[in-house]
Formats: sequence, structure tokens, C-alpha cells
Amino acid sequence: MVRKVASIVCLAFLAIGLAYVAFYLVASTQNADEMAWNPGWLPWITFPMLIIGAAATYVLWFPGCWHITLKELRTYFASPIAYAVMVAIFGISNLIFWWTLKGMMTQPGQNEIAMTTMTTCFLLVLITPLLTMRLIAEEKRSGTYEILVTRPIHDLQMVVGKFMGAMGVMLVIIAVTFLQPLMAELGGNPDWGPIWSAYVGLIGWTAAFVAIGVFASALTASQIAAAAIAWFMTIMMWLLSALRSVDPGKAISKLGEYMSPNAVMEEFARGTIDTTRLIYVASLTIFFLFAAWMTLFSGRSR
Amino acid sequence: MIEVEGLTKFYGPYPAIRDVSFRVEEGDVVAFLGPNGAGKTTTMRILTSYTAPTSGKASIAGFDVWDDSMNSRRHIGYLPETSPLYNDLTVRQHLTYGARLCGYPGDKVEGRVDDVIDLCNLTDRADALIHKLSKGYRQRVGLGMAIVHDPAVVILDEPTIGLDPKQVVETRRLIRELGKEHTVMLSTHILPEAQSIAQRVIIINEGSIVAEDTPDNLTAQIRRARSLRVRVKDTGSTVAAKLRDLAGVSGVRRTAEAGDGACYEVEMPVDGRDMRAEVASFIVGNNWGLLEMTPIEMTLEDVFLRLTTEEEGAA
Repeated sequence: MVRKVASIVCLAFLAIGLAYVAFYLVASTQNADEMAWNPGWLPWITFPMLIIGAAATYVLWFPGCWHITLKELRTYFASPIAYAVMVAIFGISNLIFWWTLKGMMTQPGQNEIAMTTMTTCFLLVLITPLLTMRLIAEEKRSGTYEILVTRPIHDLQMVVGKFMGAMGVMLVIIAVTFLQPLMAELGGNPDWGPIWSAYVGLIGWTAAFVAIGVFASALTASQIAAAAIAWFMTIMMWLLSALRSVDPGKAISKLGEYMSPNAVMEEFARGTIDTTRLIYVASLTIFFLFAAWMTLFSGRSR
Repeated sequence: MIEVEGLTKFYGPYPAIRDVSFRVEEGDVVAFLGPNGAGKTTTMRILTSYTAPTSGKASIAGFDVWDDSMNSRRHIGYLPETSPLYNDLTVRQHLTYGARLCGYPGDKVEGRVDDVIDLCNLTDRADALIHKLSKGYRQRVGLGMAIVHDPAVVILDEPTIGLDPKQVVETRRLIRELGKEHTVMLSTHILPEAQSIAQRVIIINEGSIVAEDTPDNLTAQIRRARSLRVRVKDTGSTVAAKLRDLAGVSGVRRTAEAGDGACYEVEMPVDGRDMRAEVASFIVGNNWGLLEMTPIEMTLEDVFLRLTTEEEGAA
């Protein structure tokens, strides 16, 4: 009974949150010319509702995926992987944050705090494969894949469950880097618009990187190979931004502008939440999860 | 409960199993007997939907393992050969994970896991991490994983491999226990194991089913086929011929073994009559100097040899 009520309430939360996001996107495009469109206090209620609603919906409506996610989280936090990755990210990104602050003191610029998220994003490119490489490859190598896929779990549930597990760890990492703008708030008056949008971009790209990592891990039984494949794909994408300067204004430059993580992150860090780019990042995520699913599926077809 | 019809699986150009068909009724304990590489694991992997057959059909509890694998997997508990487990979970977490993945009702999982821990004698290690467990405990956790969601069919791939004798006895007792509530199919290459656990034995060799019978019938067949190894001091050439003439002996073969005198393998009569005393007194009567007489236990390979040659003879 409690469970039934909770399942319905979480759907309502999710619906309200999504409705507000849609409204927000429409409203912000219509008010694009006015420099200061102020959404007021409403997002402080609707965004938490969206997050809680989404998380609860996942847990209550997709128990198969959720149990896999829970197990992955348990494994990550029971082993040194998660902590090693976190320490690496915090160490480096805080150092860069400190440099940025120092630079701002001597030469006040615009939205530099949001710009540090671009460095964080590059660190995520480097670190995500280390986190995702074990997801499926390790199971294949140790044989536990056999006790997993002989249970009534759909391959897609497995892919999504594992994706969300790695995503959970990444979200914890991102949440802790969020201490940087909070510290800036303590000591100054940062512009929060670009910071929020930069974090939206950061989470979106993390999802894409993790999806690529899951796909790479599904391809092979070797964790090293999985990491190498994921690095190849993500770093190549990152380097696409070099195309921007090849022939400005032409299609090839647009390719770099729209497809490479750092070019897209730059847009987000400037404070624009561009629907085109959001959809691009989301479709990358979905595409690679689908590819991972197909890889697993073809692995046991006739 | 398990129905297999004309199952064939090719790995590249090599057939792992060819045209395998059998049925297992509800409540049966069936042993799948064969040497390494006979196709036991492949058959089990097809039954558990881990791999797809090249051709043929298999169903568990009426659900096709390929077309309706979600349902067939729901009715299967599977212990793979090496009992792979997640090293960084505790026994309790591991079994809970297994039950949850099979959609076991959420509020009953805890009680069921406790029951399985009791049944598999894991009580003293329930909260230990898997990677700290010995091989015997790992095997029992694997068995627990196979039954934790209370499936109708339990499939165990070489459940006693790599265990010490005491653990083997323990595991066999546990499997017999499981046989009371579940349909059990296990694979093994150890004949006495099949004898002691199963009600029915399916013998598979080189990808094809060679024989299917109750253990009693099979052992009778094997006992019939037993032979004696005899060593006599006399190295003369007439010994073999004279032994062959002894009523009941179905064959004599001189073996090239080192040591004193000469060594012969004397095949016992087909009707299973015990001729040890007769052979001994015959040798003593002829004054050949009996040095040694040992009954030769048929090894599994001999059974295969016999069964395969017999089949060829019949065809």
C-alpha cells in the first residue's frame, strides 16, 4: 500500500518537474532578449522535485535496473576505485580552481568560475573510462556474467543498471566539485546563471562519457582494452574542437562547434542552455547505451 | 520439466553437440555424465539461455529457452562450472542480490535468504566477504545462488569439481536434499557421483547422447563388463589359449607389463557371473604359478568405449 502510494507520488513529482523544465526552456527562449529574466523562487521547489521524482521513479518502477545499480554502487564504494578516482579529480580540479581565483584577482574576467567546469569536464574524460571499464568486462572475465545473464534480467536492464551505477559515482564526484562555486559564494559574488548551466552541461557530458564507457566495456572481456576504447572515442571527440578553426563558418567548423565536448561545454559555461546541444548530448548517451545493448544481445544470438 | 529436441550447436565449423534430445520429468534428479569436452556445459548453457543453439529446441517448464527466455530463466537456478561469484559482496548480500534479480517478492527476500543460508550450511560465514571464503564455501554460495529464488529446475555444472572428499560428500548430500523439492540436472564426469545422487543418468560423448538409463541398469552393465588382471610365473604361449578355453571367459589378452612372469587381462562372462574363484583354481591347477590377481574396475572411458562400440555394432 505504502509502496503503491509512493510509486504514484514519485510519478507526480517527476511530471511536475518535467513540466517546469519545459516551461522554463520555452520561457527563457522567449525572454532571450531581456538580459535579466528572473525565474524567481519556483525552480527551488520544482528542480528538487524533479530530481527526487526521477530518482524515486527509477527505484520504484525499474527494480531490475535498480538492484544492479545498487550492487554496482556497493562494489565501487567497497573497493578503492571510487576513492582513487575522487581524490584524483578533487586534487587536480581544486588546483585549477585556485589558479582561476588567482587569475581573477589580478585580472577580473567574466564567469571564470563557470569556466573551470571545462577543465573538470576534461578530467572527467580522462577518469570516466577508469571507472566504467570494469562494468561488463570484469563480469565477462571472472565468469559472473554467466550467473547474471542466466537470471531473468533483460540485457537492456543490465546496461541501464550498470550505467546508472557508474553515473551515481560520477554524480557524487560532480557534487563535490560543486564546493568550488559555493566557496566562491562565501568569498565573493559569483554569477550563478552560468554556473548552473555549466553544471547542467557537465552532468550531460558525464552521462555521455559513461555511456561510451559502458559500450566499450561491453565490447571486450579485457578491462584495459575497454578503457583504451573509451579513451580513444572520448578524446577524439574532445579533439574535434580543433576543427572550429579550420574553415570558420563552413560545415566542417560547425562540426567541431557542435560535436566536441569542450566547444559545447563552452556554450554551457557562458550561461546558455541550448536545446540543440542538450539533445545532442542526450542522443549520444542513448545511442551508446543502445549500442551496448546490441553488443550484448548479438553476443548470444544464434 | 526439461524438454530438449534435436539440439545442435556449432562453434565455428566444430559441433559441440549434435542432435541431442532428452526429457526430464518433474521431481527427477538427472545426472549428465561425460568426459571433458563432451558437450555437457554447452547443453547446460543453452538450457539457461546463455548461448543460443544452432538448431533444435529446448524448453523449461513449457517455456522455450530462446523465444520465451525471460520466463524460462525465471524457472531456472544455475550453478556454472567454476561457481563464479562477486568477490566484494558478503554471502548475505550476494544471495539477496540473486533473489532480487529474479524478482523474488521484496518482503519475503530476507526470510528466504536466511532459509538458504541455513540449508547450505553458511550460517557461520553469512556476513563474510566472498573473496575470503574457501573453495568449499564458495561452492555452497554458488548452490545457494542457484536455489535462492526457489526455481522449479536447478541446473548444476560439475558441482563437486575441485572440492576435497569431505566437501564432496557434503555437497552431494545437499544436492540430494534439493532433489526433494526441485527438478535437478547436474553434470559430472565421475560415475559413482552420478550413481549416488541421480535417479537417471544421461551419458554424452563427443556431442551425442550415448546412453540413457537408471544408474542401477548402467552399473549392472558395467559390472558385467568387468575383467581380471592376472599375473602368472609361466611365460609360455599356451597360457592365453588355455584360459580362453575356460568355460565362461569371454576374452583373454596378453598385456605388456613390466615385472615377473606374464600379465593377462581376462574378460569376465557377459552374464555377470563372478568367476574369480574359478580362474584362480584353474591357474593353480595348471601349475602356472599365480602371482597376482586383481579385478579391473571399469573406468568411465571404458564404459564409453564399450557403449560406443556396442552402438556401432548394433547399427
